[in-house]
Amino acid sequence: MSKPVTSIKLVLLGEAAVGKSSIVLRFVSDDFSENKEPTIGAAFLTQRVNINDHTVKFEIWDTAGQERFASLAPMYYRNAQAALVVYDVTKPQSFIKARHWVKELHEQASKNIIIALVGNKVDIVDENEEERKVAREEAEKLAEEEGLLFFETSAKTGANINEVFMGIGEKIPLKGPEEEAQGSGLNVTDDQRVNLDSPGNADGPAGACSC
Amino acid sequence: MASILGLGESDLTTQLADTNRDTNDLSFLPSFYNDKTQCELKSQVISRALRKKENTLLCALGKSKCGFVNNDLRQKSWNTILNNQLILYSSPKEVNNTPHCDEKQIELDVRRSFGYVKDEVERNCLKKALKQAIVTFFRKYPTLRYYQGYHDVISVLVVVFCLDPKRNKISRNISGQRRKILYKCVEIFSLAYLRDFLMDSLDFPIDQISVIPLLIQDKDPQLFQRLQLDKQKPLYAIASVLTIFSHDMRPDITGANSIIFQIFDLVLCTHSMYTPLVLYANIVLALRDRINKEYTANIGNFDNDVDLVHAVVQKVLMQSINDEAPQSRQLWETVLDRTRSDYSIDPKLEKKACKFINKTSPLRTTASGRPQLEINDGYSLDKLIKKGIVLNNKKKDKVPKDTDGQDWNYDRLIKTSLLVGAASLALGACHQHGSLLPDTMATSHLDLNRIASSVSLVSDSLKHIINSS
Repeated sequence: MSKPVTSIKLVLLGEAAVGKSSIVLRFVSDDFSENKEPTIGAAFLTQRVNINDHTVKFEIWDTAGQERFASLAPMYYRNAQAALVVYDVTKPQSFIKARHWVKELHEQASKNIIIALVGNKVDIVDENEEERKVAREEAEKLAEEEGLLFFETSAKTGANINEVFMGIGEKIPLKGPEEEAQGSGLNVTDDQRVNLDSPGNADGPAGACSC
Repeated sequence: MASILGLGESDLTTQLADTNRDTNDLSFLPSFYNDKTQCELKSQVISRALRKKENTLLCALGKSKCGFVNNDLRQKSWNTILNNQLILYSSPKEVNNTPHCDEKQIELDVRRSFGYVKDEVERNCLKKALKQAIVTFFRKYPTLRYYQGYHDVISVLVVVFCLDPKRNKISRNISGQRRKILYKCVEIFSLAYLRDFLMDSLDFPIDQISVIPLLIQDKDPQLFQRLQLDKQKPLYAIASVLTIFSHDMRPDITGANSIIFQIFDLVLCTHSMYTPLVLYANIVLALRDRINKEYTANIGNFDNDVDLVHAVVQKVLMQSINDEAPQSRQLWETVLDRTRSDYSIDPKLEKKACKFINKTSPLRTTASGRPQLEINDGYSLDKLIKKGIVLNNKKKDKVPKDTDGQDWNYDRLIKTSLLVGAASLALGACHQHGSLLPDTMATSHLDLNRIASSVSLVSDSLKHIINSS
């Protein structure tokens, strides 16, 4: 019997070049590209994970970081159940931007939105602590004040990436068996799709899906 | 070579110049001519058109099958066409070394460019040329803003102009002369074609993509309904439109005649920023079966229709139109062929578009499908840009009740330069129409349109001047 499926609309926000698309690439394809091209407008991807006896399908909207695209963001965070607000632990400016996004989300997005604050590029700090420009404590403080999940990640090494999504998945109320009916149509879709790279990560991602 | 095969370049020119011939159709060539031979012959005709300065013929060749065939001819052709498209008599400030406010972002994006070029020396050479070209442009026009994706567009020009035709490889040292040509082409292309995207707000490109629903409605009302294009703007088109598809496809550095080069050929030779919008609509139409299938399969998977449509269209396109997609080349060939014959915008549709497109937009001025516009000096261009911003702000503040005419309050300089431009267009069209040389590509049906639209532009401008004085 198939597991119940819950869809989660998730949006990524954050300054340009902090690694939003790289986080998605690592999560969806378990891959990394050193000089990832900038995202223009927004990119849409999906990924499934198994959480306990549930399947969670993430509908991921990866937005462009440049300020001039910020006016499009409401379209993507509208109705989102979750958001990753990403900053670069070596760029203080990106943390300021992250604060702005958290504020905007609290003001404009759905009331129950789950927000994860994500400090990316910790691999650089692991190599040389002097590169760190945003203290972990400072970010933790913000997360506590604003009721956010908090992770420090590296899309490059993969550190903590799945944990971010699993953390979000665990906080979202999952569908009970009576709500399964809606989810059953998904199987049809999945059979029809052209395969994206599907990661072989048994514990986390359960293969990419259609839409 | 051509004469050995029994058809000289002048014969081919005459054939191509046949008034009744579809410019995209090379079928009058003997059937034993394969694509390669056709391209070789076409190269000779392009060289001749360049040599003889036959610009109408040159444009007709660029918008027919295979475009400008190779990057050697492309360099020369783009340079000729761009310098004829927008004539800048003087520049506002010749040298400006004050850094532009977007240079940090430019640096970030240039650093992430050309990742697909394996040779490190070549890669660095391209990056350096790209950065210099972009920075030079923005320092000269500080009012304009850089956007992510602009670097993709300029990458295409950089690759074309950095090709060493003798070695068919990227030049490791670009001569000062060549650099100058590149900068000028970047300047004209940005000003004449990309200006909307370089404004202070995303409203301008969003207005442009709002033309796509009109194009789709015209050709497939059912698809229009399904994609709910009466209710939602096709924001999923923004990356393709802002980058004229250069974000979807990388410019090939081995001298191959990539699709992306042929798309740029078509845009330049139609003198129109409508062309990328037509291309986008035609791509969506070509993929309608897949879009419909995905749509049906995913109903119920999304909380709302906006997300459903956005996700479905973006996914189908992403899988179909980029370099990695196996069927991409064939799909593009088909769509390019179609667009080459249906790029012209129906006057009724243009009228509808003009209701929401900013009056200063390239779609209504410098890249509206009309062959030439003279801008007297950089100052009037600067005023045009500022006027565009003012008009946009007014539009945002206003209920869209009266979008036409009322806020048209150009100062006399702009009015005059627009009038001069429109008059010269009208004169140019009349002149061309009346003096067709036997071996020039005849475009009589286009000329009539141009005369009509130029005359209406002149009369519109006159009305505005009368109203506002």
